[in-house]
Amino acid sequence: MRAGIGFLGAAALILAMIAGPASARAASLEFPIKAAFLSKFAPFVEWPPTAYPSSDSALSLCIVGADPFGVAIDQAVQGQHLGAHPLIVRRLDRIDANSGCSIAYIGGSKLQSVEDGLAAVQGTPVLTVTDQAMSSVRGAIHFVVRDNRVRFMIDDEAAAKNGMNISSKLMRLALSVHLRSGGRL
Amino acid sequence: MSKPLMRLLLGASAVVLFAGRAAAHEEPDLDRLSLEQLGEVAITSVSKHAEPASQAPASVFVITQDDIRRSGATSIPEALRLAPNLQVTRINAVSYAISARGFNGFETANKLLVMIDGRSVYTPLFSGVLWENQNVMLADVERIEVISGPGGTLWGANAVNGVINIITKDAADTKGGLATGNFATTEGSASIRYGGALGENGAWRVYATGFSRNDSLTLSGDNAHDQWKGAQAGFRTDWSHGSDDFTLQGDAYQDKTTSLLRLLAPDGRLRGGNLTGRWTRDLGNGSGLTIQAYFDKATRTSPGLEDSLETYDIQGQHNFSVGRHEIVWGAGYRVTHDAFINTLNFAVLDPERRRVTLADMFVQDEVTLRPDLSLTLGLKGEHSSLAGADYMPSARLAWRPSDKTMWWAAVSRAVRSPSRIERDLIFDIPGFGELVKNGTFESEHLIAYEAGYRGRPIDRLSLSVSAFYNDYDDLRSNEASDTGTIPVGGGQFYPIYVGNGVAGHTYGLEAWGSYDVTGWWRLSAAATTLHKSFHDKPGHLDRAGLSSAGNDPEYQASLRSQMTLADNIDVDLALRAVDALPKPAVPSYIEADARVGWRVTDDVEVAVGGTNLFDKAHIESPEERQVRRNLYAELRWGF
Repeated sequence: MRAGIGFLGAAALILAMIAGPASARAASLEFPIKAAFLSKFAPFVEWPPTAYPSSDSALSLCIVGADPFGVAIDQAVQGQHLGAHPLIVRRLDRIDANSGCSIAYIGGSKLQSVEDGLAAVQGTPVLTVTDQAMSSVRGAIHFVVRDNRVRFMIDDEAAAKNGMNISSKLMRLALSVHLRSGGRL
Repeated sequence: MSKPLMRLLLGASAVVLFAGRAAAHEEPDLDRLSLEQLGEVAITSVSKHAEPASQAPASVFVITQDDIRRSGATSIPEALRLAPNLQVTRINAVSYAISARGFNGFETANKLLVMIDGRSVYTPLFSGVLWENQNVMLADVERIEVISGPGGTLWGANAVNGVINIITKDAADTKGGLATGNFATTEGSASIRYGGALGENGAWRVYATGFSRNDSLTLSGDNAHDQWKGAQAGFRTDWSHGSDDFTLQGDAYQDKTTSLLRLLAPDGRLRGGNLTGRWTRDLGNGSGLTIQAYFDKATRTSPGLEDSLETYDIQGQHNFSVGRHEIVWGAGYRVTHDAFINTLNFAVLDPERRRVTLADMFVQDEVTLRPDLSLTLGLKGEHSSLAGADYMPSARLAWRPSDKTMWWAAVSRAVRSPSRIERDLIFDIPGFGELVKNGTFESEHLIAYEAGYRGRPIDRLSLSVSAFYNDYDDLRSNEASDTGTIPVGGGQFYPIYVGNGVAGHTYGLEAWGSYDVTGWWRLSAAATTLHKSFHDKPGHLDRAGLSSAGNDPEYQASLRSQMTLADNIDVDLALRAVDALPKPAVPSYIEADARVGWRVTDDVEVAVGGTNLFDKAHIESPEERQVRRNLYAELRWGF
């Protein structure tokens, strides 16, 4: 009984003790981690030489449709370069072959479904990234949450169709890899 | 009079038994993480299995794979030295005593819950962990979470003073081959693993690992003849199907030592194996369901002695959110069949074989009171067939005034249910009588008050400070029975029994931090203090002189420097100081470890190093065995 009173009394005390100013509680890291991934994929991907208009033109990371990142993606790409190409973020409602995106995170929206977005850039040098949290349709890289961690799957065939090569290092980090026809790890 | 008796009981159980860097990874700076590291960050606190321990309102230290690799450790106990909130004491070449917040000693370190991939490994024989039975391929460990303080509400039985959670990598992260060899003066090991894909959504791996530990030294520097060696092999598969994830894993091992039972019984053998299956379903909206079951069998034999244990365990949990509430609830059921058969002397368990069941149910509600303030209330009920029902409530409050700061406080009640030895040990000498009688030992109780800070007060500095006050009741005592004395060897002995006659408190501080001096140099420091005060409860007299409270240093401190030069050369230095043990006395010691590793390519690393460099040998426990200096050369090859 003595122990019981001690326990409840202390719990009440601790509750009474705390009453400080408010601020944001650490939220889920799911999208900040995805943003960090997006900002770091470029060095592991080979675009065809025709993909850049000039040697120092920007590399566009396009957020197409729904934007689950907010400022996290802008912060993540700040100061990131691939060689002389600075990485910049652009937000688009829909994507097509002339959008000028090097990497496209296709979240989908009423204006353009994920499937339509992928079809619109097929055959053009765009690294397509999709997200299980938005749709189960898969691009070349597909984010999933596994065991409470952000991971991704790679569809190398989809990358091949866009004329791109994904490095074996990135493939090794993938949960699964769908190989291109005739391809091997 | 009390001393021989104490020795008798302790002796009886002993005979019977003998049978960092990386500070709290609070809110990681994602920009600085590699792709590999990004994939290892836990994203939410959705469940007890997935909870990012580094963000929990508790005293938590996380040992990463990188820390283990850079420490040169070749066994779990040596890797656990990286956690400042543990006391790791090497007893001899085979055995360790490991505890948190006091009670250390081979037989008194009985208040920890230790899990390897969700499988509990403390033995109900004496509620301690037989560390020599616990092995993993260290290169495939993802991380080790060390929580000091009670974790009984969520985590399961025996989590009175702490929880150690050893988590191996998902098979998807161990594709390809890896071979490691550690060629050492006293602690060699070698291992090999190979893994691959299992269709598009799964992966597998198999591994084998072996080790050899040389003799420790006696106090006079002679060989103690306790060398041992062993091997283990195992597998793990992980696959997913839609929103379901499955894991199946297992291990088998066999070890041999020349004197597991010291002089009494040479040629000890350990054998065992386990199989664990786990199914997790993502129910969407942050809710999920996990069901896990395992079977574990361990046998220790030596001439005249057999100690065997079979464990069947099933547990399930469900988590979901309702408004501001994140709720986790679940239940578990465990059945153990053990046998302890001793023909060497008269210390036996009565009955020799026993089936023990342990059932529990728990519910935890994390309420977001304000955006920066969350209160976690938990309640667990546990029923042991040895000690009946008990309950473990806890309350934890976390205040996160910014992304970089967390203050927390907690009050918890924890219970340790009786071990087989505490319940069933007798020492019956024919012609004399029972010197140790079957007791009525009941559960031990703790109410723990804790508070702490964790965060990054300035850029590049991470810091964790925790304070605790533990109020223990009903601790184990050895008491004289009132059935009259027995003449033995010219003296008169009171028969004794195991009671709950000791109470007391401990308090202390645990602090650690790390500072990134530059991008390639990290310095870490840690210190813990412990104050203990125990006494006989009114109407009781502990003939063992309060020895169940353990034999602990008042402080421990460590310093660690981790440098990465030219991107592929690691230089690591570590110092640790451990205060003297009071009773029986063991002197304080300071030891140093050093390692230089060269990652020749992404797949090949060579290293040289040494542990316990300051002395040819030093003593850590009252068992009069000295731990030797170890020098090693290491090779890792990924293929």
